[in-house]
Amino acid sequence: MDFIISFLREGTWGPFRDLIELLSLPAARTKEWFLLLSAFIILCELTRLALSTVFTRSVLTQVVRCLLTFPAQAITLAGVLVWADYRHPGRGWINLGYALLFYVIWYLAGQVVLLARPDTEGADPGFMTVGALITFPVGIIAAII
Amino acid sequence: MHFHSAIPIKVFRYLCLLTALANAGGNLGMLLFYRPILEFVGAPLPKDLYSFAFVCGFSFTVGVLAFLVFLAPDKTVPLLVVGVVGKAIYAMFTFYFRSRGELHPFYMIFGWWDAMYSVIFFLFLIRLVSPDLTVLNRGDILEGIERPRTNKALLVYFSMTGNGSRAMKRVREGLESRGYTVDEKLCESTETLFHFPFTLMVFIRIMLRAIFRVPTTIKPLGISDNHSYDLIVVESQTWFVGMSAPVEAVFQDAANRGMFAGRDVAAVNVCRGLWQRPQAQLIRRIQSVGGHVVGVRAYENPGREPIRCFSLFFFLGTGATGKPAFLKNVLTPQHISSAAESELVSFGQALAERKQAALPGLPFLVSLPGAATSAVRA
Repeated sequence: MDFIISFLREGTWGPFRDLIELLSLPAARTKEWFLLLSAFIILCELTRLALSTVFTRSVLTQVVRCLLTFPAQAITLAGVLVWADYRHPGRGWINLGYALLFYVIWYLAGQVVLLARPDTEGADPGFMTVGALITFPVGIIAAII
Repeated sequence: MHFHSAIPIKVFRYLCLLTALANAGGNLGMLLFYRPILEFVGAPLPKDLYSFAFVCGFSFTVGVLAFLVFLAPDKTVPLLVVGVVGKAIYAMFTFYFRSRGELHPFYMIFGWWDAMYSVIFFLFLIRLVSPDLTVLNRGDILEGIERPRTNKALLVYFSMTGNGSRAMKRVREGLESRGYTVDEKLCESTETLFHFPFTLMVFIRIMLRAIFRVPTTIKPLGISDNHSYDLIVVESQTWFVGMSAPVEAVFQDAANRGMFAGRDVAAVNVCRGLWQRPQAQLIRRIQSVGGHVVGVRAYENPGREPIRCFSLFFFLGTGATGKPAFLKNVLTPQHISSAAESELVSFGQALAERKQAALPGLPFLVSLPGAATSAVRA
């Protein structure tokens, strides 16, 4: 038992604490969180498009692909905006500008797949707009409050 | 149709060779000459030589992986997944430790390189998976199975809003213009859920069932295994990124499986915009019951995003096109374009004129107006 307690106590949550801190979008670490969230957005979109033609009977794949169509990215960005405004009040409007930039990156990531495969959908600005209707109202409310 | 020019596969292959040389050769060089190299760039010598050598060894391994992909891309697709994960993790840790100030800027060269290659590998992966679908989406009509032609075709489809039946009407027109006799079987669900217009609650139920792939059942099609049709055309629409449940039920019902075995089958998809996964699902379903897919077409409704997406929501919500009235001039049509309908007539004609297999598996191209190398947003 002592071994288990010691084992757990000696574990490190440092990287995860760093991640949570980074997602509060501190002004001093703009380059870092910008890269992190860009990587997340690009990864989501490429995964969505990679899953288009594979595991066609998998329920899990279907659910993941539905989530990656817009909710995962939109809700994450909305959550980040709220968390960032809570940790660093007064930066809400600037962060909304960055959120818009992430939507541009999202679109470009989808469109770049058109260069790679001759038969693919590319980005879906329709559902991205639905995602924006989640992210931005939440971000605006957070910025106002 | 959906086909446009893309980066040739050989470009991706040579990019793999480039990182193979960089990873394998570069890391060997680093291990042999790390002292003068690090001294030259002003980076400190590694504190933990074991970890340094281990990272070099790991990176060397990814170089070998990239070389294998270069040699035989179509046989090494799973390696690309490993490559994407490996490169992304390496890049992530490089950026992380750099942000903590524990890494000399020199190492960021490798971080950026690997970040870039995780995207390149991802794109190559997307290119390589399901290559048979790319052949079909090119617009080719493949050779049919070698069996007597009866010039009889069966259309199997489901249509809730009328878009699917509109498309199949055109395929029928094309087939009949080339001497085919055409019969139709509409998939009728045994559940009353699948109807249009619907209430919000019904819409939510259909949506959740589509997302979680909850199957339905349909009334018997009544087609025996030894039917006389030499061609079956199946149509499906997109319901939340997947094929519609009533059409999928055709393949889930054991009684229907025999009708596809050893027969030529074509697939048609109509949708708002997301056609790729439903099409793949339909084709794989057809193949799973022994159907020989000879041709496919997928069409989006006309219009630009995002108004096309919101037009669909208004259509589903109000149960009619052009509502609400004050948005009538901006809302987009909820059916495929007339250009797409013309292409489907040609598709039907090309299907009727398809060649029989001389050598199984070799595609035979039927010249088809409209099936060109550029994307046509229907």
